[in-house]
Amino acid sequence: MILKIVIGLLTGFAFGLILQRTGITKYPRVTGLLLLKDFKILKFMLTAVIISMIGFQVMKYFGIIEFNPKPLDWGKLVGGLLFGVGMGLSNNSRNFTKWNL
Amino acid sequence: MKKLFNQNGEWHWFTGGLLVSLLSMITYFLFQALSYKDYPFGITAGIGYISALFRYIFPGLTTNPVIKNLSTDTAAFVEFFLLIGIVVGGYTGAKFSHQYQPEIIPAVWSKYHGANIWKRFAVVLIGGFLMGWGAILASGCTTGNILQGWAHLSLGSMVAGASFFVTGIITTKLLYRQMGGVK
Repeated sequence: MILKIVIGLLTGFAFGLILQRTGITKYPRVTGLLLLKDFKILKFMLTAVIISMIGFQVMKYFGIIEFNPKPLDWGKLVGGLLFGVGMGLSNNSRNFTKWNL
Repeated sequence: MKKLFNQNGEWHWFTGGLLVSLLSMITYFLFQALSYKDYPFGITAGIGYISALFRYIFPGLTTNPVIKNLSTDTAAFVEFFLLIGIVVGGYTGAKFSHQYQPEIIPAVWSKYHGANIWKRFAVVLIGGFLMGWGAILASGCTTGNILQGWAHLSLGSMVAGASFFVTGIITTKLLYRQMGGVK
C-alpha cells in the first residue's frame, strides 16, 4: 500500500518535472503541434517511444518482463476520435490549464 | 553537452525523450517485479479512480462494470498518486526555473477568440468532457497509449494514438484558421 503510493508519487514527480523542463506542456507548443508548425513534442515523443521500444524488447528477450498489450476493439477508434476533438478544443492533454504547468 | 540541458531555457527534446523512456521502463519493470500485471504509467486510470469515487454519492454506480473495475484496479490506485506527483513536479520545475506564470486564458486563445472567460470555460468544459469519454473508451490517453502502448507495439494503442491526431489536427485547424489552418 505505502509502496504503491510512494512509487506513484515519485514517478509522477519525475514525469511532471521532465515534461515541464523540456517545455512540452506549454499551450502554444501543443497548438503548434496540432497546426503542424512546431514538432518538438513529436520529436520528444518518438525519441521516448523508440528508446523504450528497444528497451522493452531486450527485457522481454531476457524474460525479465512480459507484455500485456491492449486489445484492438471499436472503442479504441471511437474513443480516440472523440479524445482528438477534445484535445483540439481544450489543448491540455498533459497540462492543467489552471496552473499552466 | 551543455546544449542538451539548455536550449532557450529548456531541455533539448532528446534529453526529455531519453529520461521519459528510462522512467517508463523502470516503472514497468518495477511493477512486473512486484507482480502487478498492469500498465502503471498513464493518466487515464488516475482520472478514472477519481470519477469512481462518485460511487459513494450515487450508490447505483457500484454495479457499473467500468466503475467496478476502476475502483479495484491496482494501476488506477497508483496512477491517482502519479497525478498528484505530476502537479507537484511540474510546479517545482516551473518555480525553480523562474518560469511560473499562471495563465487562466492562454495568450494564443485570447488573440483569436477574445478574452471572454465564459466562452473559454465552455469550450474547455466540452473539450474536457470529450477527452474523458474518449480516453476511457480507448483505455488510455497520450501517455498510456503512445508512450507505453506504441513502445509495446500494441495494435489497439496504435489505432487509438493515430486517431487522437486525426481529429486533433482537424479541430485545431478549424479553431485557428488565421494561423495556417483552412481558410
